[in-house]
Amino acid sequence: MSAPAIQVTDLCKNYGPVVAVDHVSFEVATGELVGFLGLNGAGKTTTMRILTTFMPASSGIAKVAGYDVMYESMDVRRNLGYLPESVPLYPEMRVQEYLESRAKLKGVERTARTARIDYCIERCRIREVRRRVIGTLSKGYRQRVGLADALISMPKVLILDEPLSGLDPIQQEESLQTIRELSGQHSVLFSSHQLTDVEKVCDRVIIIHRGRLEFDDRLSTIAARAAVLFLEVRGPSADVQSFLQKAQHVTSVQVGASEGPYTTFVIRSDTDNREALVSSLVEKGWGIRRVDQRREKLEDTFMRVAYQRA
Amino acid sequence: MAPSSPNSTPYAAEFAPSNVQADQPLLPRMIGLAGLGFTTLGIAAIIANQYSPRIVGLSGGYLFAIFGIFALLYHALRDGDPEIRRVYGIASAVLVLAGLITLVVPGKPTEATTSTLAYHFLPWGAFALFVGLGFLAAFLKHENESNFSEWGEVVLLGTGGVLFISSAILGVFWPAALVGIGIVMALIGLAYLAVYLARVDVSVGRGYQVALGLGVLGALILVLALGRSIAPTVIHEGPSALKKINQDYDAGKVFGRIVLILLSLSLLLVARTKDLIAPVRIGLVTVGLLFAGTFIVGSFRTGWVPIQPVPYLVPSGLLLMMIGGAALMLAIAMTSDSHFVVLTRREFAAYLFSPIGYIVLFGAALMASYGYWQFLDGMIPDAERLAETLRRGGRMVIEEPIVQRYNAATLIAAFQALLLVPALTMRTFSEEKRTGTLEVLLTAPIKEWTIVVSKFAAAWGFFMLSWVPMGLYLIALWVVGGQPFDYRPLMSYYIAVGVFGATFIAIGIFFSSLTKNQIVAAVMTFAVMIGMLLTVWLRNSQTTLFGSGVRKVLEQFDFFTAWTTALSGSLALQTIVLQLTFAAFWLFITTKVLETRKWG
Repeated sequence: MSAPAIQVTDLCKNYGPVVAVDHVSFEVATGELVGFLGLNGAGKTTTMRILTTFMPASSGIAKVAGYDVMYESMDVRRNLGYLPESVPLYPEMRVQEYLESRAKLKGVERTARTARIDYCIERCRIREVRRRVIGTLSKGYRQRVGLADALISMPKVLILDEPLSGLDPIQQEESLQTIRELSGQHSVLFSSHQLTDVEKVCDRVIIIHRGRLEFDDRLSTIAARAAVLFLEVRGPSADVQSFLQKAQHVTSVQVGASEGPYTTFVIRSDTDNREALVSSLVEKGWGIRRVDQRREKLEDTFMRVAYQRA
Repeated sequence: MAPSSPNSTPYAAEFAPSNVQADQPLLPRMIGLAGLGFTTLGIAAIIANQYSPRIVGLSGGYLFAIFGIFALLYHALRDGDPEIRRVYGIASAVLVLAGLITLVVPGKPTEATTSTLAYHFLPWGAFALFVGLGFLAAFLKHENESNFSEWGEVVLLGTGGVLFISSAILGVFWPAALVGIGIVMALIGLAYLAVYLARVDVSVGRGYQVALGLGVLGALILVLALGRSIAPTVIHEGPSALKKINQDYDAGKVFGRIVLILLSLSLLLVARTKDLIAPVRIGLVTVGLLFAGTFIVGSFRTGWVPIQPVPYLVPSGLLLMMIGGAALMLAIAMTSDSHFVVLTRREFAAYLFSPIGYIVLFGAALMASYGYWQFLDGMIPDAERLAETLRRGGRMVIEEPIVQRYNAATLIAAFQALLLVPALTMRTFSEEKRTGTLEVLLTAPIKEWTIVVSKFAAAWGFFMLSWVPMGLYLIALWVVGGQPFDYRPLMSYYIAVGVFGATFIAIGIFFSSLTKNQIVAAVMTFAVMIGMLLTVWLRNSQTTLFGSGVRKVLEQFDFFTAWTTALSGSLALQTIVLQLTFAAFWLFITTKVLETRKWG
């Protein structure tokens, strides 16, 4: 089995007394698209900077495309495309010549260079601005130029720091599309605050909170979690609760708020037993005002993680 | 307007950022019209003044004409209207043709030149070609129909090629013509070729072949000139060059000869670098073997060159080497994929895109003009007596070396360096750290040392460029004065400026790498350079503040005295080596500063 695209083992980074990254371990397999989430200041950018060899870790091992970031840093950089959060570009250059000089710096073969640049320009949809001076571009175009620059050497691994920040909704949608299309050929690790977008395209999600890895799993796992049932029942809450707890397939019952004669019950079961529950409650003579099923989403997981230490 | 992929969202695909509305070039047109008026007035004045003095004098005529041409150039750059741009295209073709014709039309000889060929080339032909290039570039900028733009590119390539190749042939077979005509032809030809190569795609196809051909030709000329300067002398002198007067072998000279042979053979090692194309490898190996062979033969045999060879190095050899070197550098800058070349190109272009570059050049030109004025003032003490003498048909004799009197140059030059070096170097690393582009640079597969040296090369190159106006004034003196003068001290002066400049720039880059704040970097560099300048006081004073050893060390930093003595023709090799070592040292610790981010 080939080496994973990114392999981080027990990574730590301290800025003096501040612990930015605290024993983080994760892997990104080849061709995977992984979303890297966390509050601001959680340690995402620091981890990415360590992976791109810009900064050394305080301890731990990080490998990109099988090369160690500390000892084989040149090899890592040859197989890496990086887009920092601030998308730094040279404002006096034109898009075309910027991409040409970056292609030369990253070692793109002379005979293939023009075709590769044209391909990246088409892929990132910046054809209309290829002769424009970079300083005159809007944020959306700047980010796409940055993305084209990250792509230019067809690297095995792409690390994108908040590639969707500051884009308008249409641009976000299109950029997301582009990133999703990239994921088969390249392994992509990107960070974002747009939880709904991450949910749409990513295979896996990693959540970092205060420097520690709190969640690292496939999105399908979240979706597969059993749904939660909300029932608003008119009746004595203690009796209803004990009745529900004794019902078949029900794993837990929580009592929620009361509004007049109605009380909300939050029920977790191991199968979909809505019909059976409702009909049994009605048989007992208790009125039902609301039957609501909610699947847990990424946002819920994220909020749970973010608030747990607050 | 179609969606970019089959599975894309139902939103409309994004358009280009804004609607494009063609510019109403009213102002440029007015300026162009005014320019036309001025140019006509100027040319009329110049022509009329040939016959008798007029209200608008000759210098007025030149002034009007030049101002008018600038205004026309501005209009040509701004106005994209098809008719107008094609008129400029035709005008540029006419100018180019006129310029080329002046190369072959003969004229009257004067004292400075005995040849009658290309008499009108300097200054009219050169001027016409230069202006023609400007208009041609402006025409091509706007022209989007491929037939016309292809014609334009053919003109660029053709003129550039003809000029450059002719100047090379001239330089090889009629070296005396090199000074003046030859070098101007070569530079203009290279300018045309540079504009051509900037327009076409240089990585594949014809553009690549042209660049490659230019590089090969330039290298050939360089090697030929170098060989012709060195080989005859070496072989003529034979083993006696290595011997002392009493026919014993001089250890120092033998050592020097061995070093030269090893340097030549090291070219074969360079040829083993990966990523070089075949012609370059073959060339390096051939050149290395030829030079090594020459040195070896010259160490053991004599008699192959029986007569004392004519001195060739100065000036023809040097000028030819400069021409070949410039062509080679242009070709390398355009096609090389080496990180160093790519980064240096970008850095150098960045100077041209920011106001700092132009402010520096303008300031240097101002200071050079003041220096030249002082120089003339010192040379001609009494203007009225001179006018009287000349009217009576006599002459004024000024003893050589006159360049030494360019003392104003050293005072002005010290100020120039003091002000320009911080201005040039303050943004090298500070701006990249502030905007974050350093992060993107350092996460690409580039070595830190390459980044530092490329910034140094661009800054130093621009620094040396700011000394060209001073040289231009002296060229003008040569051409207008009609009498050649000894300019060799100028060469040692330029070398002294160059090596001390290297140290200054290296210091400036070091301070820039320490801080994100450009002003702090500039002030620190300025402070260090003022310190160096103040050591002049040390040399002239009798103070016992420092011991003699410390004093000797501190005197090495005195660049003012070094430049003054260089201007009178003497420059110690030790000074050159010392300054280059300093420069290397500062660049080395700059690299270490960059690497500290890796030390955790």
